Amino acid sequence: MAESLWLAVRLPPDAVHRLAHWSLKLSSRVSVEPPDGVLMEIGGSLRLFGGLKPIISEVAAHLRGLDRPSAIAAAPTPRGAWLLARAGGGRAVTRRHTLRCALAPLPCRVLHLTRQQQLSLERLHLLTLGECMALPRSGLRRRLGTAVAAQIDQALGVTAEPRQYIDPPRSYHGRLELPTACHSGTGVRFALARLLREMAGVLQGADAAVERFTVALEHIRRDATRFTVGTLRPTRDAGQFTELAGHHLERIAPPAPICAIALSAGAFLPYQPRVGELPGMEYTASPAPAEPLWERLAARIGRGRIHGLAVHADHRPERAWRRTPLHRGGETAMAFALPPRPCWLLSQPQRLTEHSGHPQWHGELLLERGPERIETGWWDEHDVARDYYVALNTHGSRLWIFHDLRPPYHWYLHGFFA
Amino acid sequence: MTEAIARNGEAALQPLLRDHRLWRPGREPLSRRRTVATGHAELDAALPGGGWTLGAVTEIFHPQLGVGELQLLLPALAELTRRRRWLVLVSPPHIPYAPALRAAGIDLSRVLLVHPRADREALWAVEQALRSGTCGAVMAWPSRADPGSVRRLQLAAEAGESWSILLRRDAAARRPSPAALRMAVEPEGDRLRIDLLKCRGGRPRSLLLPRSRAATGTPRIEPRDRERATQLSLALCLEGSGQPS
Repeated sequence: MAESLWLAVRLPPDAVHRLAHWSLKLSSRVSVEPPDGVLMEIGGSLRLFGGLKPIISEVAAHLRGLDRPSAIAAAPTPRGAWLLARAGGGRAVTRRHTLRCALAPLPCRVLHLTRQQQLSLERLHLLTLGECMALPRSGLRRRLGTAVAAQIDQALGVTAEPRQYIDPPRSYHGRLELPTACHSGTGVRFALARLLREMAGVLQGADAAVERFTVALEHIRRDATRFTVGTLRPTRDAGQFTELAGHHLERIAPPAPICAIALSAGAFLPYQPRVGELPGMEYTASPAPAEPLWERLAARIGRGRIHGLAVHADHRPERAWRRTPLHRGGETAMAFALPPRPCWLLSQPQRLTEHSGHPQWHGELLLERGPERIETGWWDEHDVARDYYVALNTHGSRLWIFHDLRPPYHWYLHGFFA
Repeated sequence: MTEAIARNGEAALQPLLRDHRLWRPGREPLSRRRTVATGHAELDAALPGGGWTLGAVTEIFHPQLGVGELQLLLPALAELTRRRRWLVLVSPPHIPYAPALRAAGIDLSRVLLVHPRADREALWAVEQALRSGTCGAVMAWPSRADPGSVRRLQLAAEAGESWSILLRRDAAARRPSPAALRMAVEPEGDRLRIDLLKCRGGRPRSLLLPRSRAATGTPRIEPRDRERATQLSLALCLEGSGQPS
């Protein structure tokens, strides 16, 4: 298992949750340190992202986009990283044995202290963490309470620090105030792209995608101009979002200067990656889910007009199949070893004309095979007694016909072999 | 000298590079040329890519039902359902008979029937199904489909990598159409005559396929019925012999 490594970011409280949700794209273990910190375990992500440096520069780039003062630090323990970040950040300690040296010069105010504890530390002339570490823990606990000693031990990794990880979000809401009011739709393009990138990161972290999102262009003392962007299949590609939103922005003439933009996406859908193009690969991944299509068809055509097929155990041809509701198609019966059956079955057998006792259908019929007697169903109302034949007419159509064995002994067409 | 060699080498490479079976990274997605074998060796050989082209429209013209138009398609449709892709039938002319489809190897849990009320709704449903990317094949029996509609279906089929099959009556064959493949099928004695009217990436030609007889092996006749059946067959044979065959 990879050695654990934690990244701590200190930033203004209002941006904490936005950063935390975005950070899920880098690590599945992201934790919030109230009120102003985000901690993420990146030891397991190093190999995927190509080392510590790319991760830190990605976080730093995102923080620049958020436009807030922030401090970043990395250390093998969450508490250690957090103390380094509180001390101003800019430090990355990757080895556990150098952690003590890195933490020692930090001032004691980086710890979470009550006013009382602060005064006690001052009275004892303990100014740095190094001085505290040098003291016996029992004395430290007695004089300052267990909390201070616990923080130091957790920072050094002497005691473990269980942390609560955040759950991936199920929706996204972002807002960005513009530094200066903007008069055209295209002018906010870059600001919107920033929000869209953030949303794409959040989606990646939540392993989700969206089919539609709403953009609101806010004006002073007026209702916001809103538009909704939809994609054909669930997407989480920032480039595609930006392009689609760009088409909308071009068509918009805002009634007043735009002072802020808000972006929201309600329902996150599960993400289905597109299959890569590799030779010899044919539909290896499951195709796109069918449900959206069924829903669209059912909404316009009607649920009753869409159904699946199943085989049913009955010798009467018209009862040997069933309609099944959506998604419920399948085999419901064991297979009989049956003589050939036609691909098309008529919903109502069609009476054939007869010429001197022989059936006709667009010309003479030549019986190729038969008869197959089907005589069953006496226990319900629909009993049948028929002799089935496969017949070929002069035009080359192959038919499934039967001779009714009850009066008045007519011939009927029941299906086509296609 | 080296230049000449390089030129020669390139000349030798060119036909290879044009072969669509060769996959080259970053060039054209292979998916556009995906095909599925028809299950009939002669037909595979005649079609570009060695089978039905997926992501395109195939128009099949037949004079009437039951001439063997489905027999042509069933092996490929069965293969697609085995790949967990859906088979959608929009407004079929009769009931697609489940026992026969299963006997042909089609996974019935992947079959969906749609019965729209009007022609226009049918074309809409076909387009939606093609575009969704979940369907292996979408079959329809449009009574009228102008070139504009067929073009729309062609684009939808490309977008969703689905195979659009339009089964139509003979009369429409003379009019031009943007479909990638158009063929007419007609029974000719014991065989099925296939005329490739238009074939993108190939050339029009005709071929004959053996028609699978519904009656293979000895007819199964129940004992008590034997006498009646013999009489009937005899009567029909006598009648048949009177005609020129």
